[in-house]
Amino acid sequence: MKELEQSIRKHIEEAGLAELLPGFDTEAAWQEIDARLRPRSKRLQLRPVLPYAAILLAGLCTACLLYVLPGRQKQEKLTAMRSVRRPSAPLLKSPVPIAIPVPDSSPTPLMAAKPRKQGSRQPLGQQEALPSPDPATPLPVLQGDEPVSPLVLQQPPLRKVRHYLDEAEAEVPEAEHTGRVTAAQVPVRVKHFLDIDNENRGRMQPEPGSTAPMLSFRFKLNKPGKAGDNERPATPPIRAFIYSSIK
Amino acid sequence: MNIPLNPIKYEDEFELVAACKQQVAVAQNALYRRYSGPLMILCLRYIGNAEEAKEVLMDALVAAFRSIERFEYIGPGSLQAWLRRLTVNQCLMLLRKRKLQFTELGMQHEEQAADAGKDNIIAALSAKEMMHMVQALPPGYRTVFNLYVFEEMSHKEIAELLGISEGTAKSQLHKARLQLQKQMKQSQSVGL
Repeated sequence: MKELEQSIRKHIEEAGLAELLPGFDTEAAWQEIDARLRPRSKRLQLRPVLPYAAILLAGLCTACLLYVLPGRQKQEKLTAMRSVRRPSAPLLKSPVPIAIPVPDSSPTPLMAAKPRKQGSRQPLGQQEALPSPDPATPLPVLQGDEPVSPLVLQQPPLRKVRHYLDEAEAEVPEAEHTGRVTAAQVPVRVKHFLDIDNENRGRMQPEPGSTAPMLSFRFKLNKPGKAGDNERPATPPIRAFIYSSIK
Repeated sequence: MNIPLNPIKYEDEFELVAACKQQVAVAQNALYRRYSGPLMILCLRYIGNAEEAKEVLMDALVAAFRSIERFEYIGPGSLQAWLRRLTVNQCLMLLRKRKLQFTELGMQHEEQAADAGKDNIIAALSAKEMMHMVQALPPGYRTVFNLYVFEEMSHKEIAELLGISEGTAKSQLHKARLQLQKQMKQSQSVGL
């Protein structure tokens, strides 16, 4: 029995691998062993590609920025243009009845407006609001420098209101016959009153007896292009302030 | 110590081991080229399937290259013996995963084995045929036969290694012999 075993052992051990397993690929097996021994080698293979990948990524990022930023700027411009293109009423430079509030001091300066004499002109800061126009009596008119076309003259008279904050300016059409401006007749959007360029200069602190803080606050809320700007008419507090100043 | 980069220069096992301890790729390749053949044959004897044997060989060599720092070279042949032991352990690990089973042998078979031992029928067989015979043995017989015949382990060592009794190891070896003799007779009759 021992002879049998020793003979088998001798035969098998003396035989080469090529005889026992002709299809064995020694080189492929070594490659697999080498890959398992040095897993970093794959990372090293990727190393030359990394700079190109980084450049490609940077290029993509730049392209995205160049594509996105002009779009945003264009959108902002459109918002601004929209506010310019859609004034509440056609602008009349002259002649036009003007109601200008007193800048400060009195609690409701525009409400305390007195009819001023025809032909006289006060400095801008000291001008007072005109009374509401009466269809029976002609409105006091300020003479301007430029001639007015007949088409413009056919438009309903305007009251150019500049409230005392100086940042906002609005043209409000006057209602026919009644001489009073109501909420239904004058749908004023807040962004028309807003001086976007000088918005940050607006006073946020209330003055004694003034409604300015409320107005300023409403302007801030309805800034065009930001949250809350949904093209709605002015909120009732702002309308109330404007109407009171017109009167 | 200067480590040669040419694999031909790693003829000395001591140099080869020293270079492999420093993870020199050329030395590792030289070691692989020198011992992969015998180790693959060893795997084939234990596993039987060529693809699985190849996987076991690669696992064993990777384990060898990673743990060669713990190997102490004590003379010619010690490296090969260490590699063989490591590969055998790797084969046994795979066989344990397959839940290697050992079956007991009856007395009738022992008598047959005693009779069969008298015949000398191995002269005409080639190494490839013998390898196929060994591979054709059931895993339990084949494992004990390999450990006893090729690794020259005693029944006690085999029993401890495989977690079986000495009697089971002996019976497995006996049954393996019987089956081998039976196969040899069959091949001889076919050849005649």
